[in-house]
Amino acid sequence: MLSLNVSAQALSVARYCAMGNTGIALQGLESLSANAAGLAALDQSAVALYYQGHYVANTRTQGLLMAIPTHIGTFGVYLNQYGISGVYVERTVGATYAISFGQRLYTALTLNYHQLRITNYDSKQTYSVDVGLQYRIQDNWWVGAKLANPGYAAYDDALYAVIPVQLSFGTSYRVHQGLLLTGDMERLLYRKKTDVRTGLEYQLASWIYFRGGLGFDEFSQFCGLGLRHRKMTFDLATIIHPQLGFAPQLFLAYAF
Amino acid sequence: MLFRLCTISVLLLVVSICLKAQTNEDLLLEQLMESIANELPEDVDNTELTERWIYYLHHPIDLNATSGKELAELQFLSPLQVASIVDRRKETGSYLSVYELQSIAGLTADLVRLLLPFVQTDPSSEVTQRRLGDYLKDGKYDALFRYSRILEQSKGYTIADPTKSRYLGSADRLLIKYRYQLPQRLQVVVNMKKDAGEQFFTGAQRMGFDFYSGSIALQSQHRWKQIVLGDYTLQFGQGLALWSGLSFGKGALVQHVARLGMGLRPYTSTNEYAFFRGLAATYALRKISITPFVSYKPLSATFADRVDDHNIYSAISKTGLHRTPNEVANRYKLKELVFGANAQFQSNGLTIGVNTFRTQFAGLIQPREYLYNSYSFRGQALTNSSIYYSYAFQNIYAFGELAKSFTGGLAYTSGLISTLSHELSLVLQYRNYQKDYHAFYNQAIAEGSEPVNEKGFYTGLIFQPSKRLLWVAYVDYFKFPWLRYRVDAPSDGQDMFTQLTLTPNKQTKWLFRYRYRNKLENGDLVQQVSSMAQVKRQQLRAEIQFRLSPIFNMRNRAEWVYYKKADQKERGYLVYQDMLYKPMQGHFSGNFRFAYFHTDGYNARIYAFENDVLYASSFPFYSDKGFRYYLNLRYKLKRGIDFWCRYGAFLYPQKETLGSGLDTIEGKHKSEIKAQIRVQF
Repeated sequence: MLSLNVSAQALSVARYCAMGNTGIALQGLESLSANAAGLAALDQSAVALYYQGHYVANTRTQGLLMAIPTHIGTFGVYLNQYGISGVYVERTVGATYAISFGQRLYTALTLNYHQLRITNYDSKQTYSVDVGLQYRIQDNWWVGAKLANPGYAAYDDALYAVIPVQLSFGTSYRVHQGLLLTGDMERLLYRKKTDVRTGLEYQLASWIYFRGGLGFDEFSQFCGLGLRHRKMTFDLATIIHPQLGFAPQLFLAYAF
Repeated sequence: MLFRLCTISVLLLVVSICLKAQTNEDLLLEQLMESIANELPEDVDNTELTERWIYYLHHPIDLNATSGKELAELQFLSPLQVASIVDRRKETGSYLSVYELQSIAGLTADLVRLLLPFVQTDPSSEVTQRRLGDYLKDGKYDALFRYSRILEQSKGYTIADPTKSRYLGSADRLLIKYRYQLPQRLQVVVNMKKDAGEQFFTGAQRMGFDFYSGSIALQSQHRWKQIVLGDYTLQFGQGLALWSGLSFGKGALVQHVARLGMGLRPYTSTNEYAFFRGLAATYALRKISITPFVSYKPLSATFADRVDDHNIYSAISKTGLHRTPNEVANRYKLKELVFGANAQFQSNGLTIGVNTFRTQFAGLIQPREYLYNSYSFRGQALTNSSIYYSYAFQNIYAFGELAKSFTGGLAYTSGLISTLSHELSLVLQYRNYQKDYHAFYNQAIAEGSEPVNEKGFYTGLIFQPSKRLLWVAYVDYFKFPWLRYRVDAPSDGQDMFTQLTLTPNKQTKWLFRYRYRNKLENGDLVQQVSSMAQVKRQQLRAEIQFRLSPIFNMRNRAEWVYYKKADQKERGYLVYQDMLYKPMQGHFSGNFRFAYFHTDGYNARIYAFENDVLYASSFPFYSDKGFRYYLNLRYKLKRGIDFWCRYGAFLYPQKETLGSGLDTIEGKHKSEIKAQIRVQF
């Protein structure tokens, strides 16, 4: 039950995950896994692959992110697969359009296609929509909001698989070039459950980042490491859950 | 250089204004004590710390000469802050002024203000060729006598029946301290103490006081750094193996999860357990110092049985109280021999050390056969070894210790403090103390009362975006892999703390604090098998300190507590008004508190720091419904002679009896008087 509970809250990719699974007010390619409005800040096309281990053996998530900035906005695509290979698989494919209004306001709309396949049992599919918003209050201070699946799209009553309906708010504050603080609040509307999370990213040198975070609801701790070399980015992260243990994450990106 | 001088003169001007407000030594000591000792138990003798502060107020630390050890002794600086102060000399040369401290990252404005009276940069402080006669002139005698007593008679003093438990002595408390000090040469300490209920020159205490302590310490700048004969303390590493004397737990000083050992020091306090008695010395050879030690002292222990010519004891008593026939019977019954050595290497911010020592008892220790005691120490002797390190590099300070008991388990801790930016510092600490790890002088950071059977991860942040705003927070997650007293299952919990301090101007300070603690405990239902219950305790505090006039300071506090265990809920609150009177001149000074408190029960009790006579400080708890008031007065008879007195009382209007057991008092009042005189010459 607990593992279902945890998996229902979609995880961001390694960088955001290491920062306490926060990212509602952050920008970059990784925004596709948190608040797609952050894609509007992208000035280079980029592609990434990621892998996430879960607490339960053989359960994993893998996926791909891609974004192309154009003069009319940024287009993004993602592909995500969660589950136990050959037994239970949830696939999600999404397309995003993100646009900035001036230097301060970013917004995005994402269309998601969800498919659930349980071997020798059933297969279902559905569609959902996410909307995101980010606003820059000061040069180094952002706030963001995201509403995921407001239409309460669901597979079927017969299957206990949930497409989260969630409202999230977040903020990010860059103390200086090498130090970034974040805080997110997430409300799962279908379950009346709120989590508050906070994170930190510290750039030790031009090529290495340390990250850490905390989630207060289940008291999870998060930490990670990021390496950047020219156009390559490699992030590692893990969640440390008090009862369930470790869930490692990997992320590899290339910017064109 | 010109720019630096200009900057310094501007800083001088600014800080001299605040210094005027700081000239008052007592106020400073109170401020320090309250900031550092927030979670200390009731009636701890803080002499050790207060004396050290007074010493450095009178002999300020030379910023250009210190290796950091003296700064660490002040206790309110974190290891990273100490390292930053020392390292700065390498980067920008000698300090020209103490006010340069303000430009060091990680030193908050508040901290610099506290630190300034303790440091100097004056080159005249350097030791020059002096004769013995010159030193003797610097010698200082210090004698202190303190008397206190609870005025209402408690039940323990009224029982005449010799077969029943009762207090054998009078309710008077006495303390005599004597010091002789030649700075950086010699220190002689003698302490004598009688607790309430203990006999005096009769019975078990026919030698007079119940507790005597003393030491002669020789200090030198040469190879034999220190030799102590008598009572001493040893503090090395992170306290996992060898730490006696005062130590602090988790609190508002977030960076203090990194312990900074003082090494060998003469023991000056009157707490009756955590010290050694014998001979110890520190010999330093360049970057290596070696501290061999031997200690032999009697302990009070609960006698259980005698088998095969061996006395068996179920527990060692650490209270130092010998009031009832039972306590007297157990007094000083178990002899303890401790011997071993420490070796430490120090160079360029790196410290590596090793401890090895053996503890032997003239009796067998066998805790009672409860399941939670399954892994407790049993036997007559124990050998401990530990290795520890600390390393300061740029804005990072890493520390740790790995300890092993033979026979028994392992314990280790490791952590780091990093000043991520001028505004933000991060503290991380991981600890893992196995359930079968044993050490009798283990005072490492822990959630439990003893640092064993615990795993934990601590994250702390200190954020100071401006001089007027300081925010600290920590989150500690801990696990107890084995059962504990009143917890019949492996358990875990969290401790979260946050505090915001606003200083809009030099005269006003606002403080807001919230703490949340969550643990598992046995449920209250009496069943064959205990069920576990979540115990949550939340605490909210708001405080304001402000200056009413140049001689009157005010302090107001309101605090709420909410306790919840399964369906049982208790709430409580406390409000108080303090008034501190401190004229710049004149013989009299004093302070006063009036408090009202109302809690649903003992679980929602609220601890609060109280001003006391010098060297004493108290943290009593306020529980039930009633009033608390006290008055402290200090009178300076003449130069070198000071007199203090204190009256404090609890009034519970709705109660007919107070306390429990032998401490039961008939009536609504519990009041105490205290008088102290100090002579210095």
